[in-house]
Amino acid sequence: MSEKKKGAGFWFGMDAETFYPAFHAELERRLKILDEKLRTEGSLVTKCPMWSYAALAFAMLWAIVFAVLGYVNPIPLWAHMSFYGSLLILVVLIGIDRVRKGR
Amino acid sequence: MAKEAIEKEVLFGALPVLAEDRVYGFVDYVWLQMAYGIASWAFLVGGLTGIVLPATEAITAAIAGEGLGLFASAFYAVIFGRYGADQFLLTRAAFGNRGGNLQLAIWIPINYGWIAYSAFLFGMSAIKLTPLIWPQVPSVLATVWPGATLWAVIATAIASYVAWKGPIACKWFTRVTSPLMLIVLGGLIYYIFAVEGIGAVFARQPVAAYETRHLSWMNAFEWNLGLGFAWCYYWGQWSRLAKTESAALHGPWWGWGPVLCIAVVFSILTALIVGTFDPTDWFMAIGGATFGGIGLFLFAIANIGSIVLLIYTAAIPIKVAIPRIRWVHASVTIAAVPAVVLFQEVVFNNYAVFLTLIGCLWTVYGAIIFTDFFAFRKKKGYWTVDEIRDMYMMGKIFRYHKGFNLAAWITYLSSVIIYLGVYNPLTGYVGYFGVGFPWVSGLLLVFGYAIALYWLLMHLIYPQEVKRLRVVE
Repeated sequence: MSEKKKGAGFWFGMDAETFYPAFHAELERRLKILDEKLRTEGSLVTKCPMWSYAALAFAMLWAIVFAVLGYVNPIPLWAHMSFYGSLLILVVLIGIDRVRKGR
Repeated sequence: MAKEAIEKEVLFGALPVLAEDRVYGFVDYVWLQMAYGIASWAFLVGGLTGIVLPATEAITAAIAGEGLGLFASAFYAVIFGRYGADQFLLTRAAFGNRGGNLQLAIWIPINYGWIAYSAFLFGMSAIKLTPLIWPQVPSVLATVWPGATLWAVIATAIASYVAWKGPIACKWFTRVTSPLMLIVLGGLIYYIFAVEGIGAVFARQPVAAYETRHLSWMNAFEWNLGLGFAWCYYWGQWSRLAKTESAALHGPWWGWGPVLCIAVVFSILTALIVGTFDPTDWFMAIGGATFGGIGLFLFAIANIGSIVLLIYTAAIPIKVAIPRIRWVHASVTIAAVPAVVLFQEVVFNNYAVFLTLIGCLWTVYGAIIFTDFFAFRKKKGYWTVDEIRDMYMMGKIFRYHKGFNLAAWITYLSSVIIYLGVYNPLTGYVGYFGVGFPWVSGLLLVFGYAIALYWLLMHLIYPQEVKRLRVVE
């Protein structure tokens, strides 16, 4: 690599010889912490509780129901009303959960 | 590297983000994703849906489309939050080292498209708002060309500055712009319920319906599905900054899911009343000069929030691909400036084409990532630290064929061909196969096709890799 290419210039903040060794050293330090965390806790941060996925499943289920109903038509009113009702119940349940946990 | 430089590299760059560096909690995420999605995309897609379908059917098309697209990819959020790694870094596992960078090169222009819609909406708002405040405004600032384009450039310049300041500036900016968006939405809801009456709105007929109800519904479903799948490219850049995996999942879930759907639904109803898909026409039509002007102003500011987030989102993977690049070039020169060429009325008027023609690319990308993460990597606990290092170093593990995973790329290209055969995004009718749409959705079909083909090709082309991923150490 030529000196011109290696050096800091218009595009780069630092020259390659200063940047990459420090970058790789910091990357290694962070990967070591990541490794430790993955082995002990399975994640860098608090893991997602299983009930969180239930919210996804709920939404997916309604999306499928609406896709089928929209495709076959006509869409019955009960489908609309029960969707909004169940969404409200989900919001209330999550609210209760968060209040219970003091957040 | 000095401590400050490292902090900068973490928040503005490529390094994995550790727990103590994370800056976004659940509430911040909801604000953030609302700022992202509602100001432009939700209002535009709601407007399009509302001009082809009556309310009852339009609402199902919106919820089904947004929901299926979004929730098929929502699991990714947890993965990026777990590793603190960027979207396009982990993409290298599925597409190959160089293939991941090629995906980035494909996506950056797509992101220009998204920026263009937000910026042009700001421009359209400004040319309608300026004559109200300044009646003698020069026509150059009050016409679609060049007025809206000039205003769009100004909005992008402001947004680039905020994005350049980094994620904490983005957080505070969205805390201001998202509530503005809620005020606009609240105004629309008030108008629909209190002034127009919900019964009257539900009785209205669309102004630009297709020949049959089924064709209208399927096109509307396709557009909404396009927006739902669009998030496939946008999980990792933000989830890496989440304080918990739960925040990484639930923030986007609520912001891009139910909250965005509420905005889409009320946009549908407003479009049915006003009879145009352009949100900047709605405010004056329903609110008059005073309230319409205020609504337009708040809407314009909220669109800047959207551009800020799009620019920051693009800048991070650019830093991943070229770690040494100056942040100003990643966030302004590359991520924002070229988008200016798309600030044109013709682009703005073809939002439906963008959601479907270009939408095919992000849908197939999402399907491949989905299969790679959950069919192949999950059993082994996704990635080891050695594999993460290899992705950073562009090493041997994910080299496949000269840096490209052939299974992924064959799937990617063939899916686009299949899609254009089934659906013609330019006309909204069946594609060159002459069979498929409207009996089947093009995007949903290629999503399923890509999952199946990628899974099959991985077994055929890389049986050793598949075998390696089956063994849990």
